[in-house]
Amino acid sequence: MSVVVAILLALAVLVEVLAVTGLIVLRTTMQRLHVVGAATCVAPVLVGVAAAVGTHATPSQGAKGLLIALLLVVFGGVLSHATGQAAYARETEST
Amino acid sequence: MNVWYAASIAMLLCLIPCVVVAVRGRAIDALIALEVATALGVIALLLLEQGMQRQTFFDVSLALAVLAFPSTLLFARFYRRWL
Repeated sequence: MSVVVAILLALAVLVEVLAVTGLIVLRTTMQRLHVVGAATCVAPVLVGVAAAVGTHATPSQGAKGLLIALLLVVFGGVLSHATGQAAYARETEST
Repeated sequence: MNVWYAASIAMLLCLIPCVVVAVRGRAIDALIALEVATALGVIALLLLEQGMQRQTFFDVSLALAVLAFPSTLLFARFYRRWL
């Protein structure tokens, strides 16, 4: 089971490293917003599943990890939408 | 050091590019960096909670996840109207 946890955590770290790399490399705001989606929707799910199947995980700990992951996924999508909407409104107002 | 600590340290190191973008970029880029940094912070606290087996870190990560939502939403609204 610890191997599964290690693989899930390594994948989560890889996703976050790619996300912050994209944050620096990508230039436009809309491109960078895609990075937010990867950082808030993929990595938290991997960590939440790892917390749920961890070797020392109790059922309550696993549920809490999944709850945090669910919150990040839902809130991340809403925040990406709100940020994109604000950026688009500012761009259209300035042109 | 177990895998939880190692992953937590990696997540915390990922905060550095977010700070760089927030400091050097425009306001909207700083807002995007803030969103990524919030997710990184919540995940790092969750990993620390699993590594140390301490319940208090879960409460902190839950509070950060819940409170960051309205604050970032307010920043987006302020950016749209006034900034």
